[in-house]
Amino acid sequence: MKQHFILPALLWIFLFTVETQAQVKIGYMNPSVVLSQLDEVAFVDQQIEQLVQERDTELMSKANQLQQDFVAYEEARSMLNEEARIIREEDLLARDQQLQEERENYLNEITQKRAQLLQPIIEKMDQVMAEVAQEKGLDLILNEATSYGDAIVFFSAEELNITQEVLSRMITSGNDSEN
Amino acid sequence: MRTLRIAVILFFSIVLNLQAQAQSNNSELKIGYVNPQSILANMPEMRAVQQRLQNFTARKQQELSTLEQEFQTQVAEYQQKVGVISADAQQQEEARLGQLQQDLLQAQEVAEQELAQRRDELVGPLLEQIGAAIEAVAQKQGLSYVLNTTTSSGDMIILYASEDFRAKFDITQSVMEELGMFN
Repeated sequence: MKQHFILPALLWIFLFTVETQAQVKIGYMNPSVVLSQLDEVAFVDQQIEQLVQERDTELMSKANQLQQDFVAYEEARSMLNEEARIIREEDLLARDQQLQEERENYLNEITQKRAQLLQPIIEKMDQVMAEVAQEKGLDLILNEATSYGDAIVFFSAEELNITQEVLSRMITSGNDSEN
Repeated sequence: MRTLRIAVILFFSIVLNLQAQAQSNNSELKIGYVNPQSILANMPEMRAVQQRLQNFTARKQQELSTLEQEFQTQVAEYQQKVGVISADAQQQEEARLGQLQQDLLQAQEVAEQELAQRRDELVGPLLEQIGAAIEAVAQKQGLSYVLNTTTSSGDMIILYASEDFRAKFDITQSVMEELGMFN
């Protein structure tokens, strides 16, 4: 009778040992593909586009004003004394410098704003990716490509690509939260 | 008799188990991963490197600023006399100022290249130390591969690692220990 228990127990120990030494399971996905197909990201891009247009108009108006003032100065220059010229030139240079700084700040502001708006979506994607990995028993998920489009994974079995799975769950959870 | 049969079964089971382990060890691909940029950022030598790079950058900016001021002065001087010089002289002056501006742009490019070169000179030996430590840890842990977690442009190569895998195969801390960073 005892033997009936011993044999399965030994078999179980044997199988368990082999199982725990199984090879690492690696999946991959392309986060850019997921993000490019989400409505939430399209909405973020719309907001950013609007911000870009507002700032562009603002800067364009300042640049036009500066250009007009520069032309006006050029026209009036021969009638100005040395001191007045220096004052006007310094003013124009300072405003030009300020405009350049504003342009740089504006680019930083846009980049930061986009990153800030995308952050919750990326966090959600990471969470979904972890769920899929756990369900599929994946140890690692590699990025399929860099943001510049360079391939990290050139070839792998399609069943290890979890991009579509993550995308469809993101879409479903987006729809659920809307309802 | 029963004891003997159990002992025989146990014996075969152990033999089979050992064989399976040996086969598994032979074929098992052990993959680790490391974040060298985080190690580099935490290396004590990096403070001195950053300081030297900042000094180098400040010096180059000063040189460029002097050249730019000189150029601006010459442009202002030209603007003052533009109404009273001949068309030929104007053309010559404008060509000279154009060349000066070109020189200024080139000086900016050269300064950027010099900064990159300086960074390579200073950071290169640290990266070599990190590389050697990665190799040492990989050998100790019997890893077949060690992957980088992130590209130099900040793109993630490893998007996810399970908790268990991370605990076993993220060798970033071990590499820091190998480098003596916690001593």
